[in-house]
Amino acid sequence: MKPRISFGKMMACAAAFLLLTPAAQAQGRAEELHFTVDWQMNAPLSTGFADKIGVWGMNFEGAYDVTSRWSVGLFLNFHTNHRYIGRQTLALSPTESLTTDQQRSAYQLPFGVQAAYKLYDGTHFKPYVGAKAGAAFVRNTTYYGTGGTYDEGWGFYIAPELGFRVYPSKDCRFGFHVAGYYNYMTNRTATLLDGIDGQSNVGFRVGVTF
Amino acid sequence: MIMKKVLFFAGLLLAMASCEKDPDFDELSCDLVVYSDYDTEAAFGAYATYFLPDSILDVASHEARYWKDENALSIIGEVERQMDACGYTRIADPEKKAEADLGVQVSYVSQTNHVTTGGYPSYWGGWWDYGFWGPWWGGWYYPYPVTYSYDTNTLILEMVDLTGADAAQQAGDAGESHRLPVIWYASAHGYQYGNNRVNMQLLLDGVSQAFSQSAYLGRTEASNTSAN
Repeated sequence: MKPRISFGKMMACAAAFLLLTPAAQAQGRAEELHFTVDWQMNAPLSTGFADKIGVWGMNFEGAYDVTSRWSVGLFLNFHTNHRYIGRQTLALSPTESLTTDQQRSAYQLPFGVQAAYKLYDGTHFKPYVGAKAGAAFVRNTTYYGTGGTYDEGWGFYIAPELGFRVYPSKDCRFGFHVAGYYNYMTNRTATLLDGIDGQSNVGFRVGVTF
Repeated sequence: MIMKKVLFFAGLLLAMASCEKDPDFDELSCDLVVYSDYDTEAAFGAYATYFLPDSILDVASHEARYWKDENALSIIGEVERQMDACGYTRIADPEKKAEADLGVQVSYVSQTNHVTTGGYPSYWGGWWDYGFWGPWWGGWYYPYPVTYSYDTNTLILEMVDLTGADAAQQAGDAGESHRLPVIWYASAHGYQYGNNRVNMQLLLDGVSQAFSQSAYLGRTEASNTSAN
């Protein structure tokens, strides 16, 4: 049995990592510090596990404008994708067979650093290109029968991103955020007979920035 | 102002980031999960006859108990039908079971699973994970008993190779033990429901599935020809 990680402790570390640096930098410079909270739609690509678009995710960002065009900061997001697999006979080994249906659940939690460059610094409309990099925690679970099996692990994470922010007012204190992304994670997991070695996702985010 | 913003964001993040959405478990069918395995050294095509007792061993009993009612006979009848479809011939007379090439034993386990820890697995990462109440908690416990239970069915089919009976007897005469090889194993496992007809149908379907996913079972044409 693998040692299991306390999610509470992991979240506390991630939150501290995400928040303390911008907070320290932001003493007296509130207008250059901004946060973003997004709802996220995500689709894993070609993992063969739970490659079905899912809406159960959120994205959190804290960024600091180091120049008028460049911002750097930290991020954390999470997502769950599900996929039902109908009843079939699986060859677990050359001699073992298992007939069942499956409900698969793929949970991912990447966090790390981010940088973005504004392509246009308008009063109300600010498109940008950016990139995120860091670590990713993944837990893949296959539920079947009266139980299931899961595997989890850590990997590296990288994600280019293209998006824009729209501010209704000139002071840019509150606005809306839209972004599309691609990401790649190096996590390796295996449940039942489906092993995943590296994983890509595409998706988009819609949220608020303040 | 900045600290309020940070604290608000921290609270929101902590509250939301531990959310792992459960899948829809209602999508999973109630059919039993059927598992099978076999001995690659066994020549299933060469066996001709089998002996199948007319009762099922109830493994969950404290003492050996045999299930012999019409439901048990229905399951045994399905096993017999499947074995016959494989081309094997049943020896029905218990006095002649030593003549059989194969022995088929059927066991049943009805189990009630009691959950006393709140029902969440220890790796639970959902909303009510103890970490939701603060990262300083290292787990949870119940100062009083909280239980719920669910029932499961398991039917086990085992096929033993009796063709080595003479060698086993000689070994026994010489004071040595000769173990009986189980050359095929199958189990059908799943939830037990309140309706007995449903449970019986699930078990019968499980027997059928165990044989259909074991295509290597069955007499070969060459064996049939030489027997004739």
